[in-house]
Amino acid sequence: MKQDKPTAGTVEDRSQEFRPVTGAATETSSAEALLITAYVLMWAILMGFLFLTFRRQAAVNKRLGELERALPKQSDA
Amino acid sequence: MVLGMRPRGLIVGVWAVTALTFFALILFVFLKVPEAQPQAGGLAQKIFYFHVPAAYALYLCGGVCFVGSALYLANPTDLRDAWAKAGAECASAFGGMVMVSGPLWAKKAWGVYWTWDPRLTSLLLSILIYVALVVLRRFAGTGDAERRFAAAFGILGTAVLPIVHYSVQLWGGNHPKVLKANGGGGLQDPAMVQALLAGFFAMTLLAALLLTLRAQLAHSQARLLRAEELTPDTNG
Repeated sequence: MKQDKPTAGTVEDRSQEFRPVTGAATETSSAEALLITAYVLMWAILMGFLFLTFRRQAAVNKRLGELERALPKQSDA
Repeated sequence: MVLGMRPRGLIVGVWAVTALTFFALILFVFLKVPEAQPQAGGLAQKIFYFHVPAAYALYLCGGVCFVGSALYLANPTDLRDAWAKAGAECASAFGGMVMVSGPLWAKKAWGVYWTWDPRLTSLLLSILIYVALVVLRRFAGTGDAERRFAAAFGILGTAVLPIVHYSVQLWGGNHPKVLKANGGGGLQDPAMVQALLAGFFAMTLLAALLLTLRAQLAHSQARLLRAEELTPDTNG
């Protein structure tokens, strides 16, 4: 599989065109399936990132709570 | 109030506006925005209304990483380090969104998921730098030397972004220039432009929220580490 060489002409010309890749399969997947897959994956990444963030923040808060509870004991001792 | 700048009502309000904007944008993109021409991927071109703003958000987070890293190198503080770390983490997340959505559009428009086009290759390099930075921060310790190395790495990662942005103009390739295009990559319907602008607005809000959350988390972790150093017998 190879790409077309960048077209000659001005920088603007060659940067503004959608140009097909040669040698690729002529049949491509359905646009609907690709569109839905892209949206689902993008939102999954975002949700996963948010989930990890909140989980780590909860762990930090829990540990801070433990330290705060331990402080009076230390000062008592 | 870890960062000293977190009015809770404002944060909740921004979350609400962001969620509503995304919801409205999805409806608008699917119900009102017309399909693009077949060379642009037809229906699959609607991926662009989130793909391009996600790439812009990556630039934004890379910029935050750059500023945080540069400020940390100039005068190290936990807060500056937290913003640098948050910038790299959010840039990696948005980079992931760009990297999964772009190839799915390319499969329809170009017939392949991936090609070693200058824009794609330089963007992949940039995202890998941010991912490496996140891995480094996670596993390489939290000493000043590690933080300084990470800051230098963060500056390097963001220095690649202008190359990513101008790669299409510099070297051509298959990737279209979306915003000012007259040819196959142009947005020829006003609704397309409106959707893209709304996408930029929503992604800006999302990036700001994620950056704030991650910077707050990184700052909390740094403070926790210092507190644990002062009270070692409470570990466990």
